[in-house]
Amino acid sequence: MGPKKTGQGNKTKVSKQPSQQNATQEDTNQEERLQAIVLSDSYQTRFQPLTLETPRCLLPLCNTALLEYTFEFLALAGVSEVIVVCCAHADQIKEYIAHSRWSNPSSPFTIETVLSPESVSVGDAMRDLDAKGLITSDFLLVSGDIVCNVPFDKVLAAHRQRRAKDKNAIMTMVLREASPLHRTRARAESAIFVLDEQTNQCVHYEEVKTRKHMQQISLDPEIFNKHTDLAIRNDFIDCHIDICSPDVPALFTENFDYNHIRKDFVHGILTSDLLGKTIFAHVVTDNYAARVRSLQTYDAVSKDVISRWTYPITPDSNLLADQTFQYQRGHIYKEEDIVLARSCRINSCTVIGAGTAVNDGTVITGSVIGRRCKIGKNVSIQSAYIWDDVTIEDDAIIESAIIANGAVIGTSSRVAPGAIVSYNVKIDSNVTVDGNKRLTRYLGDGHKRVDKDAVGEHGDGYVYEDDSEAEEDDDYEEIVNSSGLVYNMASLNASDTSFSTTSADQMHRKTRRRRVSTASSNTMASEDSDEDSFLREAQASVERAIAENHDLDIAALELSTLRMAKNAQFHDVRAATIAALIGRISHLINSNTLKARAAVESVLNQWGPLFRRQVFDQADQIDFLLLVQRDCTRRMQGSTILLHAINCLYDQDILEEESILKWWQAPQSKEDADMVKVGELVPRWLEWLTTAEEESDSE
Amino acid sequence: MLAAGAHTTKEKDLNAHIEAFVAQLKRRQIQGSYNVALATAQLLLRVVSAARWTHIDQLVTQIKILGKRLQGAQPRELACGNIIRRVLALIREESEDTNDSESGDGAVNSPLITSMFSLLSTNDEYGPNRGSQSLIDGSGRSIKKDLKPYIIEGIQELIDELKNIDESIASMGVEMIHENETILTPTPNSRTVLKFLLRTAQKRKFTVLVVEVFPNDVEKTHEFALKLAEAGIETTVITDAMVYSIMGRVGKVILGTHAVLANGGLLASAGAAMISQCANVHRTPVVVCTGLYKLSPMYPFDVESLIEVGDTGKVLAFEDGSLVDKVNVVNPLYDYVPPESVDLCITNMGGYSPSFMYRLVLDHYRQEDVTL
Repeated sequence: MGPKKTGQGNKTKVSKQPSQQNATQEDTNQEERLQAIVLSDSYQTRFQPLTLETPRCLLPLCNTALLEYTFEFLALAGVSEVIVVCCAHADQIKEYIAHSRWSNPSSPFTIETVLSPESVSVGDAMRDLDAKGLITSDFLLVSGDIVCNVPFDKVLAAHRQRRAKDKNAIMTMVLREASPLHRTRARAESAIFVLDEQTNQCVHYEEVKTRKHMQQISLDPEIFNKHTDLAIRNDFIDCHIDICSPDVPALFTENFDYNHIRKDFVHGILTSDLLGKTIFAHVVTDNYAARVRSLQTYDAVSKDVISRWTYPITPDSNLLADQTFQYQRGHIYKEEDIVLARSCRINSCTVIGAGTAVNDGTVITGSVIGRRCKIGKNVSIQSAYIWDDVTIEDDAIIESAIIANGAVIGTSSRVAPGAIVSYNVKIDSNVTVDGNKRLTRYLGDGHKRVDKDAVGEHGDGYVYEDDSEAEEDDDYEEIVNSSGLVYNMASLNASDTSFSTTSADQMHRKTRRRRVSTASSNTMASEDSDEDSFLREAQASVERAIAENHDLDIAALELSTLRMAKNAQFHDVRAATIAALIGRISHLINSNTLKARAAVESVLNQWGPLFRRQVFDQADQIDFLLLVQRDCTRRMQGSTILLHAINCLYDQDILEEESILKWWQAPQSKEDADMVKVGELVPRWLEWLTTAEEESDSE
Repeated sequence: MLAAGAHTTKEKDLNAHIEAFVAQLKRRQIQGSYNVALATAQLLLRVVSAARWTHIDQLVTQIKILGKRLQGAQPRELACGNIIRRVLALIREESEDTNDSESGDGAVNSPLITSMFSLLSTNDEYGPNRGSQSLIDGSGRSIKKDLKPYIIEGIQELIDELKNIDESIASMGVEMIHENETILTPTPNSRTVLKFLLRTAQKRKFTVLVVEVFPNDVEKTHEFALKLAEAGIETTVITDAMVYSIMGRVGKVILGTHAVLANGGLLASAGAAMISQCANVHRTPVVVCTGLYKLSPMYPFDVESLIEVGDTGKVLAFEDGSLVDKVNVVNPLYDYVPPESVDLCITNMGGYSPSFMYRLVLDHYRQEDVTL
């Protein structure tokens, strides 16, 4: 009876299921399906020499590979399809993923690795993805080294809402708020975001160079016209978690010089007028988001994980199946099967992996110790990261350093803060490793090197120097210095605070300057940058025509082409022509080549007809006269030029009497002292005009 | 033959299901003792219906191994282990019953305590099982093979019990709360307490003071207070610091709890220990509302190992870089409330003194299952 019953149950279920499933599948296709692109390569060299042998995303953070944290975040975010882009060490990453639980049927998403061996930047990888056509919908773009516990449904919903309203909202960046000096902020890569307060639209992005003491940023004045409330912020942890539309890889393909997702892409899109794409930011104020992008952030994120800011992604969640961490008071995490001598002291914020033995008298504070390590007697370890299978012999001292797998630190040796001891390096007894040294045993070019000075008589390994990079990139030193495990907080303090004050007063200066510029550009009656550039070009074109004595038609053609290209108004064309012509006139006068009247006549008789194609009706004429008048205020003998110009153009029938009179009556022609002053000779001419009129009438 | 093929794919499915469940537990996507208990029971239902065994011990070890995995995923969520132990006890009981009936001697192996407890109990869980068992006794050997449906039935009953637990507790509210009494409750995330109060409010008029429980449950407090207010109960939200000064006017403290330990002690949301101490000083009765699925056979030898430490960011804003760097912050989610501070436990099987809890533990769990 029992089995039959269940069988029936199944049947009824089966018959019901197709319709339900279809419905749900459609739903999921529309709403739930989310692709994620994981860039496993960092395209940087900050973790060298460690990354010579292991990709960055497989480096252990609190004894768990960094990639695990990224996948964990993606699982939390409800991603259904993950594409891992591999470049350097692709085989290692592939193997890791193949053996991880994410390839099991129980994994919450399907996972696929894509090779992109030629790519040397994020841009290359994106272009590669675009060429492969793997992206079908909006996707999550992350690097393989993030730690994040932000519940993603809200962020995603906000992004989709924006997308539904406006197809041009191509990207949402997830930013975590943090104070400027926060330890988890990457020192070398902070950036200024200018956000619209109401919509969170990102309108400007500027990278901050810590070394160069950035003094100012320049903003397009148009930004202020479009947005009423702007926030200029330098307090974000930007961990490069972006929701992108399929347009993003396509844009990378179009702009083949974009490499960096922020520096090139975001900056490029925001400063480009033609694309009309918008980028938004989602500011997260609670939960945790960070990226391990330098040794300094490696240190900080490790500390954050240990002190449970990333809950529930903590060591005692035992992300990997074989982990057995247990939490103890004071943020101490111990795995099963570790041997601690009775007299050793494990202080707070420490992680110790399975199979590790710690001997008598050893003190460990705020450190991460991997698995199967052997730590001798009276060793002192402070804020250090010691990975698996490391042997530390008696009386050694290790402070704020990274000791990679299989390394050996000899008796009474000292590893100073900031040093890196890479895989399998052996350091002899009584050796001091300086803080700026990075030791490795990596045999890149095949032959073995040993620096006896650095590792001692019986040691193994050499000092790693990244010469290729140092020559190419002048920022390298800065990055290395500021991204090192230990950073001189004092000097940083000064630089960053001085930065923030300059940024604040820069803002004032900026607005002040802008006010000035609006005042002076009243002649142009426009502050639009597009129009500005048109004005400059048009003016240059007319000047060129005068200087090279072009044909009038050619000059006119050139102007109208320019007008079409820039989609400018006739008003701007007139302004530009006037500026060029009157500039020429005043040049002739000032250089004493000609008297004012002769100069005006010579220029306008030849070039005045240009205005025939720019001035059409009475309103145009009034506008034209106002422009001439305003331009003359800037010139020596402006009033004379104005008088003769009006006279000359009247003779040429470009200006009609009625419009001249209307212009003179218009309030704009007397709106300030300059205008009145420059117009002082006009009434007499008008008098002559009316009397001449009467005379001709009487005749 | 057909069943064999189906069996392997089913097993694969099941394994994937278990792994996904473990991952969800680790990610805290399933949280809260009720949700975990219910999900665990439903998983066990699937496991048992898919399992095959020749001897009952195989099933027991299978479930014990699974139990260890689940327990490891959220080590401080005791409800998960409790449900597994309940099911194990159920299996053992069923098998012992059949053995007994085979040997024709029913009385020898049956647990001593059950009979005594049954006298007091209003809601005899195992009664029906036993009755049905005895009916089938006549069919002799076939019982051994047909054990599975009984176990499944037992688990199904357990699930039903879980679903109805709040109802049976809420029905006791009228006896606990007097007219015009002032109630203080520091555990706003407890569904049981909410239903208890709402149900009682239909018959009684009383005032509820809801303690805010900063920092982990502030939002829930407000939701909780709103629900009570909507039901027409006079509700006030007070800060944690006000508890002592207001305790003199409080008639009863009603606690929800995360777990009840074998000694009658509680694991309740952080702050509960202080409030119950405060209530003791004022001689205010402390009443705990809890479903039996929260009753754990664990004894609090090491209290700290039972307390989950949560998100530090709730205590100190992560933005504050200068503090984050220098201060070590701990955010324990639970408090251990010693049994002396608790006056009465209201369970779905009636009200008991905390000192009687060990007896309930013995009734519901087998000694051999206490360590999974």
